Amino acid sequence: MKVQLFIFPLYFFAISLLSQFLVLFASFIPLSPFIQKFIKNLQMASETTVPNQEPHSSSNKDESARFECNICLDAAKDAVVSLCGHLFCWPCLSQWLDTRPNNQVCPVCKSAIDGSKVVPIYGRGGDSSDPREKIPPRPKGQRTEPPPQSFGGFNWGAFNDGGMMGGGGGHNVHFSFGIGTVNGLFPLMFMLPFIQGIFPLSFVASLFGGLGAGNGQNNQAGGGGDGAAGHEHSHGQANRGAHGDPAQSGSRMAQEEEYLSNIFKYIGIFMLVWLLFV
Amino acid sequence: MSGIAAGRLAEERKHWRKDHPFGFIAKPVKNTDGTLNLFNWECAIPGRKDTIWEGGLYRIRMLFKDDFPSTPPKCKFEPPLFHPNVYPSGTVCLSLLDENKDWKPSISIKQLLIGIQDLLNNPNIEDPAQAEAYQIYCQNRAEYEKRVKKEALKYAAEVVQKQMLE
Repeated sequence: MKVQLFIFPLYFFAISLLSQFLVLFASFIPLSPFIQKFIKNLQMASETTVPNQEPHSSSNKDESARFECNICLDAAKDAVVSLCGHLFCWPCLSQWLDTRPNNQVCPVCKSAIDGSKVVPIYGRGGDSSDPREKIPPRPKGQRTEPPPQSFGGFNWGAFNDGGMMGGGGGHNVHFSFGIGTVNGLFPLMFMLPFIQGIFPLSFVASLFGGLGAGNGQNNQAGGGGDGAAGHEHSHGQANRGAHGDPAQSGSRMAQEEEYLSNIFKYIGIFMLVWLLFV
Repeated sequence: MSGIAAGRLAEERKHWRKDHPFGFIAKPVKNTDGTLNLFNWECAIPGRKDTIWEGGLYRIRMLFKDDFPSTPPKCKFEPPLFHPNVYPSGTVCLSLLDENKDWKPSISIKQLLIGIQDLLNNPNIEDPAQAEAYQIYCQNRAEYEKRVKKEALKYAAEVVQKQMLE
């Protein structure tokens, strides 16, 4: 009981930490920085070209060359830009990449390049209807959703998933059903922590779980063991058909679902602990 | 996919006609029917000033393949040149012209010609292509310089220019 009381807030803490980590990672992973950088560059370029064009046409040549494909030296058609910032026609670039599948480098700066990671440029007058036979289609733009406005919903979801029940509470309920068939003492359910302290099976299960995992997972792993044990019991009960509890099948499904979702939670928590300690 | 090659070579020609380094020549050959063969260029590289190569104009042919610019052109001195990195056949040995080394599609004909001009006075001893020039260069530098100056006189710029106009 002491252990459970001690671990209960830990579980909360771990889940909220995990969810926050997830949100953090979600905002880190996308390529949006690249695209933003690229857009910034484009904006800067357009800003600098405006005053340049006004003085006179001597700079016109350079301005048009700025948007020429680095391979065919013509105005880029189906323009794509590599992550190193070099502009190409997609047909030109894809041909270059096709000729050397094991040496994919930028035709200008020789940095590593990936055909699927170039960014297409959609100008205003661009016609997307041109036929692209023979060559693979130009890769799609990489759209990433903006980070969620508030991640409170995410947090709540994580808590509702079982955290609200209080650690392994959900499993304990099922476990008590199992006990109920043996002892015929339904009210035992309300003395769960006590039972868990006394009943040897659950004790062994939680001990087992506790041995197998670190302190953070102790409670969860134990709960998982309980859930499995409870599952077996209630299964036997259904087979006997002694108590035709109508909620039984529903609760069994819910139990299975919870069990599954908990497995994922343990994996998540394990990763968290691993991240923190390794 | 010679579409890219032909388009690129047409662009190269356009760029060259607009602007090219002083003393250099580069033009596609004419077919018998008067049309241009963009895949075969006759070029000439002047020896750089203040080097032993000064005064000469060295003819070189550039042969492009259908997959240009994925592959570099073959550059061949005609006639073959006395130089450690030029094969007896006249073909230039240069990392810039090696598909598996420094070649990249963004290199223009102009850059190639300037690169070869640079090679003339800076031979790469790591990568010899002909025995004669290499040995003389390594063993007797004075003799080497004498030979090169002789070449420069033999391919005097005025004479070669006239030849190319014919």
